[in-house]
Amino acid sequence: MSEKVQVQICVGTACHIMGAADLVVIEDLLDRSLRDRVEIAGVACMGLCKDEASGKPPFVVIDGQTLSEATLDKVLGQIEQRARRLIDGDTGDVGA
Amino acid sequence: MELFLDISELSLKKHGESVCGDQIRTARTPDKTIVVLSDGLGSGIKASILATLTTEIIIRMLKADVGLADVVETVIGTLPVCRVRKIAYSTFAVMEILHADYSYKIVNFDSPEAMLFRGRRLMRPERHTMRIHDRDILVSQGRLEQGDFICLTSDGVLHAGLGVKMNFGWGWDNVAEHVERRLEASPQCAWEVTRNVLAQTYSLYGGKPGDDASVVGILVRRRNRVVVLTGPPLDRATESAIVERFLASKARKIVCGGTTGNIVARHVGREVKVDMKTVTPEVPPIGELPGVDLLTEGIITMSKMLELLEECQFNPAMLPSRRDGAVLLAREMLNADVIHFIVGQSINEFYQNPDVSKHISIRKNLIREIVFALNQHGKEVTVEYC
Repeated sequence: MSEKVQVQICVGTACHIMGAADLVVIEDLLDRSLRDRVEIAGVACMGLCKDEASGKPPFVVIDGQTLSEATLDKVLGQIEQRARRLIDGDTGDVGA
Repeated sequence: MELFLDISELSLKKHGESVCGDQIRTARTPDKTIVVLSDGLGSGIKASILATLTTEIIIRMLKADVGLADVVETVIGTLPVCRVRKIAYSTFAVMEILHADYSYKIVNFDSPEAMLFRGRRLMRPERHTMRIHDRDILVSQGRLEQGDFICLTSDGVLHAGLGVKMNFGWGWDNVAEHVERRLEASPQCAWEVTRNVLAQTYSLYGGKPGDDASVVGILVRRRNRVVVLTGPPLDRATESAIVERFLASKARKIVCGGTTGNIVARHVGREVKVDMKTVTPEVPPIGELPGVDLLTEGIITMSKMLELLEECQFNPAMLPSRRDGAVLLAREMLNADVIHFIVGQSINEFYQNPDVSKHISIRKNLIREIVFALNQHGKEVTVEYC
């Protein structure tokens, strides 16, 4: 199985109120060619909102990196960038 | 008391009348449950007042532990009798159930005989006739078992369809058969049966009931217990003990709160799996965790749940069919008879943030509102704060 971009959307109270509910459509908005390279999951409150240093909700964690004040554009941009890098890596391997 | 008496009462008023001349009252004391159905002669205001008087006297005396026979004697002795028709101005059925052993007694005074169903079939309980003040009183008695269903009706139900769709009206036997058929569908609550009987009554009358019609259904079922864990406790040192006690409960287990869910998950060594199919713009998704029957987000879901309960008037059949945390939580609350809340008071500082709307900030107030509403609708609710 090929590697995937791991996306975790926090669905806790604060994140939900601050806009996480709008992020659940991300999967549908993803470029078709990237969909099978991305794994999106909801996670119960990660507690990031309790620490000011993490920034403001909603939080999305992409491959272990926390994205604060996540918006659709921000998250999509990040996912696409990472997914393309994965795909490029694959084709590179094939060519080698 | 391990068995629960799920009581549903519904009435239709005679077409064209402004009030129903049948009155139903139920009362629960620590020792017994009392149900009174009274039918005032005729219809409208006068019938309603007579029936109200009758039910009130009976309920008050029984609550004061006066014996059933004495109560009936007092009421029959007091009730006026119509000079023309020589019948009492008000008829009634009284059922008294003792919680200690579920023994019951039903007294019918000129009212349709109570129906008792066991194993979904009509059964004839032990009964005898008593003469009080020259009147015949039918007394049936026995002991209730889990799954029993008792149905009390006013004669308006038995006469349904008279002259409209049937020559002699619906009739006692046919009503009993109708109830049997409803019981075959294994109703979860008494309301499912009573609502159906009254809907049929209404339909047989062609939408214009020729008499007041009432039905009381009593379903004897297991007591449904639910325990809700919401919010992290103030003192982290107590977490384990609280979670352990929660998980050991025999009740249905519900967790409301992401952080709380994580605490339980950590305790059982598992991770919460979020079901993203249940997210809606209003309500965050539910999660899954072994050993927990329902896991939802906290404040938003509970507020929405309270809204839903009010919208559906605490009637499970009127809940929306969608599967989100608030609907599922509301259904759990409505199916429960006894609910215990374990409320952690630790506060998430972010909820105090000015960007967050005010109503999510105080869990305690929300719980108080929920408890009040559930109490008002006959649920036994207890709360502990930690």
